[in-house]
Amino acid sequence: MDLNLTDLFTIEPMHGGSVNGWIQIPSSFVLMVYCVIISITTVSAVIFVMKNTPLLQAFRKSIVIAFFCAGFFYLVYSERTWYTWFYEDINTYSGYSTEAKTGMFVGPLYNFIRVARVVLKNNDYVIYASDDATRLMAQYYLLPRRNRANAKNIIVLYDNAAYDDSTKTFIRGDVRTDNAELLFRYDSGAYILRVK
Amino acid sequence: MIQMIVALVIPAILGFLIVSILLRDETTSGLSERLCMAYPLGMGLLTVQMFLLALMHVSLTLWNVATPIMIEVVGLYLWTVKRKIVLIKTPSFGLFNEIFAADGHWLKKISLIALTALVIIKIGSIFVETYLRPIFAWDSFANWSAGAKVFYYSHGLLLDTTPEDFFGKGLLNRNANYPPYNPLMQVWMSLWIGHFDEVLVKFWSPIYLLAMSVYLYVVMARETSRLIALSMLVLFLSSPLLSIHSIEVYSDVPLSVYILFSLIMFLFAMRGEYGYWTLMGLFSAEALFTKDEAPFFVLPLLLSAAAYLWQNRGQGTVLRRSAVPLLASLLLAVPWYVFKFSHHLGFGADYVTVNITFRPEMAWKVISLLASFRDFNVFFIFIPVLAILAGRPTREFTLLAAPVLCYATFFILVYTLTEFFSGRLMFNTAIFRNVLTYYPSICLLTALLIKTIMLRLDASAASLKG
Repeated sequence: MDLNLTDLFTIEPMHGGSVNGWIQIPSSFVLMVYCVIISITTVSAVIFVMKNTPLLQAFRKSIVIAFFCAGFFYLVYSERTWYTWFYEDINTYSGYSTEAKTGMFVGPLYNFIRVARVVLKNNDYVIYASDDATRLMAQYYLLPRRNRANAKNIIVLYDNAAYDDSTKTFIRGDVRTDNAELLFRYDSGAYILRVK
Repeated sequence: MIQMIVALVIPAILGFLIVSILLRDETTSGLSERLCMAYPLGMGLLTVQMFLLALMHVSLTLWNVATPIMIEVVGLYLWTVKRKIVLIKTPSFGLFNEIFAADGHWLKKISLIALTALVIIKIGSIFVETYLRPIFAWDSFANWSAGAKVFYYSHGLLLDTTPEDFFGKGLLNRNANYPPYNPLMQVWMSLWIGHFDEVLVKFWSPIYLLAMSVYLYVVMARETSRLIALSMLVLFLSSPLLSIHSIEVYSDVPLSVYILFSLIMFLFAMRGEYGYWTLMGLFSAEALFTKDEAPFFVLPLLLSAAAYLWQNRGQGTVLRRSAVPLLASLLLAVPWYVFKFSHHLGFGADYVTVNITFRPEMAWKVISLLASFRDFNVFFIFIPVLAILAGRPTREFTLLAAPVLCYATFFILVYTLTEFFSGRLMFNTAIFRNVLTYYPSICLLTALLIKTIMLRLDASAASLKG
């Protein structure tokens, strides 16, 4: 745990917000929670002992009190973050259709996918993309059309490939494909071909 | 939207009828408890039936899937009428009675109102958030929803296709080893909605959270007090990971519900209510049909149940009404395991390798991550402290805690003993997601420990006075 005592009282919000558990809490806040636990346990135990409660019973009571106090302390912090995310999402997505929300979430790639669905009809395709995330997102939104190595339709998304419109030739690495007709071009790096 | 609500209500009705029949002689559980059990139970049964239909090569259309369910609902309802089983018990409204009671302390009343408001606002925000966002998480695209989409559009589980496509293999990053429970829920939603809707298809997820939260509260309130139960529920819901998982189509929250409900059923079964043995078996079977991790909880739970029955063998516990229905209910999971083993599907994701290593430092890493409060409030720091301070555990608590402890230990063993989990996997992600599946059970066990401490404090105070 990297402790940074200088920002002990300037707690940064939780960040990450991913379903994959990459939620980050600054170490200064973790330290503060421990401080709350120790101080409340100690103070309440002393008070109970002063009221003639046996030591074990005093500790039992004080630990239960510390559990709820520390829990609510954490709650204020985590819920502040949750509702910040929540209001951001209200501002971003509220009032739109599912299709529009998906478009906002995916970004410009979704415009390409919308056209690709029409161009491909119900046919399968082979996809070449610059990175796994782009390829996977495109594949997901094109379902039930499938990515097949031998498909007649070729989707290129910013991959290291070249298409020559004048010769109808598609070249990717050592593989050269002739008679590739351009069906749709989104921009210079994103396009769909059909091999005749 | 109305179709989506219908899709959510039908399994709840099925589950409610079954719960009402199984608990027909039981008098302690209220309407809210039965409603909480109804939806997860019904949805599990529904998806198993869809799986069986697909195995029989019946096309998964709305008509083919909904008709058997409707017949079952009508049949079960007629049975309840014939046997004069009371379906709608008079709701108790205990919380509201306490808030509006004339003799209660004003501070307690205000606390109850504030805590109730916090719970309502939090769960409400999770429902709204589910409606705001389309599917957004990696494993949903790659696995759960990819499978669901293709199953929906192909009206089956791709069982009559080429080996490379069989059961959705080779579809994005889909793991065909996993049970089809999650994709089939999405298929069910889509059948009613009429298409695969990236927002509405997720709505089963917050319902699981709602059912779990209300039931957890009711059980904790029964064991401790309403104020403590509500406070613990508010703390429980503050987990950011739980909130985020509840708006996505991941399987971890449903599994956590089935694990918690199996545990609660065992608690009530130990207290002499025979109807809960069947429910314990059904929820355990549904856990087995939800994720591949479930056997490592269900097997220790069955051992705990066996220990309980052995210890009580001479005290009138009727095996015919306890062990037999428990084991018979588990048969619900058998079709999946027969299918899994007959098609040589492994456990876990198909990219997992089982090269053995020994890295004990990973156990420390797990502890340090849980001690960082990142995703689960302060529960994991306090439960060992409370367990020590509570003193000698009750037999009931030991039998309940043992399966959860075994399950948690299983994950630590996996992290320390396999090269894949200790080295190649996104370690924090795996830990937090696995912990999420037993986090609600930890909350329940914490409440039971607080109950024990309160009882011992009362006993101590009484002895001092005496």
